[in-house]
Amino acid sequence: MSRHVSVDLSAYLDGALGVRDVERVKAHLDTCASCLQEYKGVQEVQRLLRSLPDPTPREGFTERLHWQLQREAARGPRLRFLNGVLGVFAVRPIRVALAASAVVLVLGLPLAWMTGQFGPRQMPLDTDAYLRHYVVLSADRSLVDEATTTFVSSDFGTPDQPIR
Amino acid sequence: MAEAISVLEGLEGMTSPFGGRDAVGRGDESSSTRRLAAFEELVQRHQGQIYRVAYRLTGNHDDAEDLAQEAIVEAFHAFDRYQPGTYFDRWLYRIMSRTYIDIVRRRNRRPMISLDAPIGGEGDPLVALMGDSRDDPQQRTEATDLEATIQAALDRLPEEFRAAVVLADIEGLSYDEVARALRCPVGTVRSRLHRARQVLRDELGSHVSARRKDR
Repeated sequence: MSRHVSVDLSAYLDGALGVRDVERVKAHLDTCASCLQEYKGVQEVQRLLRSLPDPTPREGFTERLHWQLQREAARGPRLRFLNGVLGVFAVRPIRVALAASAVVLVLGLPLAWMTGQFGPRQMPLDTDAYLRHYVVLSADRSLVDEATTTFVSSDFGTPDQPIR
Repeated sequence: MAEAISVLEGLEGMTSPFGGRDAVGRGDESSSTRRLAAFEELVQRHQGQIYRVAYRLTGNHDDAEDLAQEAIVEAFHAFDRYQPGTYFDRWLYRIMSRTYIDIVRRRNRRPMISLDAPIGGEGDPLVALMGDSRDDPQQRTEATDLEATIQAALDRLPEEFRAAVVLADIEGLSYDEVARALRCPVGTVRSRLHRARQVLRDELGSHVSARRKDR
């Protein structure tokens, strides 16, 4: 006997299987009593669900809905983005907090590394280094006072040219 | 077609952002009135289906009214995105399914039951809970008794599974439409329906076999 088709029975019932699968399931149902019984059961469940009567809303439902919509219309459009963001926090606060922490870690660590907050620190520049920097700039542009200006205005931490 | 035409008339005002400066105040008012009227007309036309889905999802009138109202209000605020001429009820089901799952998670009132867990046994706390909330059995007719049994079986399903069954089996939506409503792949809809129907078949065992004997 071929393999049982229990997994495909719902899709078979709904006509959601491809032609070859339909043939396979049909052939199996002809020979397997247990799968056929299961199929009839699933079919019966669907029939019962479809036979459920329509529920009648409680009295005044239409009026209450009408007034609610009137109020909403008078209130104007919602701030959809804010609502969405706050809504996510309200529904899954822990997941959102974890996701936010992950984003901070993934983006923050490399950024901190690149900006020198962590990792290898540059050696602090001493007075000699600044003097050498001044000499180099003066030699390049002796007629301009740019070298002096650059030296005086620098914050003693970030010379704008590499020191040879 | 009539649905598309009347809605288009209602949408006319709200989709023209370039009204003259003088007409802004009055124009806005009348366009929002037209928009509300078009929306209410569609809701009224589909109110039965909307309430049916809400009731089968929640299992009682209080929650069904809350869910239907919340979903309809959500839909009203998103009405600009509704494409006239497409199925309004399908569009609203999509909104309602999301609203429903959000509400359930927010309130966390319904216990989550795994489909792998034994259901309906003596250790099942839901059996006692649902038994207490029912009316006096003497006053029930056979038909409502069966309805209550089916609804109770539906109530036992986890919300994503219940939503799939309600949309596919009660409303007759295709797998694609259910997948769009529940924002999940078609394969997931297929497996949810399969497992949910298996559980329902076991739950409703006596009714299923009784029907078979009657034939």
